Amino acid sequence: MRLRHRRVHLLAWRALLVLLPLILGAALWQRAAAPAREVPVRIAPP
Amino acid sequence: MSHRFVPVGWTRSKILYDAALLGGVAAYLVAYVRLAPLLGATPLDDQSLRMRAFGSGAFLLLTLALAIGPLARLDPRFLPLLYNRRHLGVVTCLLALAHAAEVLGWHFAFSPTPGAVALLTTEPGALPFIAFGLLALCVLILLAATSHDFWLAFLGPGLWKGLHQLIYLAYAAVVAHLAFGRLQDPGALPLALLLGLAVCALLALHLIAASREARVDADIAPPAPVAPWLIAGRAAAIPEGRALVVRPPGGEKVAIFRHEGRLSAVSHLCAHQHGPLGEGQVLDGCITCPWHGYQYRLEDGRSPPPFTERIATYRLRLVGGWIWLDPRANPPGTHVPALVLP
Repeated sequence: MRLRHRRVHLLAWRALLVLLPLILGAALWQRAAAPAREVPVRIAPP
Repeated sequence: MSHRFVPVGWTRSKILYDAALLGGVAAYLVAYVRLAPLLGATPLDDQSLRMRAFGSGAFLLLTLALAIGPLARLDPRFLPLLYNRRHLGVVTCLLALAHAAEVLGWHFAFSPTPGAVALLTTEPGALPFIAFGLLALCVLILLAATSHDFWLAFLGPGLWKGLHQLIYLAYAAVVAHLAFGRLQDPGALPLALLLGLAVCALLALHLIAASREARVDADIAPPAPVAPWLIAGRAAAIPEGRALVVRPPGGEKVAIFRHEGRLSAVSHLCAHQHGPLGEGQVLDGCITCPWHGYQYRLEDGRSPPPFTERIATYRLRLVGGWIWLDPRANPPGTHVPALVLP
């Protein structure tokens, strides 16, 4: 890989290192804040 | 390689790779559909099971595709997985498309609103998960559609590589899609554990590989007493058929190969996908890229006929057992006499 691409690659993974825990944290927060969703059930057509 | 156009240059390795890949995917899908009803607390219909089987399969394959790069850099035994990674990416995209088709067929099958419109206007939670799934799907389709040597040649390896680095965006979007979507359902604890484990493992692999490479990148060749030459290293330190990789200040790396008592210097970047040529070896008298097997002659950096790829060559000197390198690259394919070792 060119040095430029390696820098982008490294930057991307550093961003993901911050972003992914934030996403998982936000998901846990939403789950705790909202009532648990029901698994949808197929409704027959009219 | 590029002497004439063929849709896919099938080799025995590619056929074996694809057979193992498709067999593994089929086994996973069947196992999921059979085992998930036994493990899950809530009974699901067949279409929901298929939807989840395709979706989770796509996530696992994407994680595997992203893990292959650092694994191959940390241990060359993983290099065979890298050889045909593009087919793995295309299968990931097909699984994601099958997942999307099942979603449209299940959730909006009886909706008076067209499925695509309903999908774009329905978000059950405070945080959007369908939008993240669509973003990931769009990126995967773009990357799968350009996962061919035609697009690689048309765009050039630099732009193609830059485009395919969008995969990191797709991965973040997939994680958000799962976290804001499926993880919000009751009974999603096994998936939460799987997701957390996959994300942590992938991040750890990339950070370990990147820190190792950063140490190598920081090792810049010192100047020789005579400008513009650089001191590359000891000739005796290069094993037969292998290379010493040198980084000139402010430039791309150079690979100095030793073969049958001679030294030759070429660009470290393969003309195909910028693979690390200096981590390859000399096979049949040619430098062979460890990623996809592209070959170059030592003396002029040209692929043997009928192939037409070329890479830059460099001049070398030997002074008291030390290799001196002229960091000014010759035009790709320039003949430079090999340096004969005493």
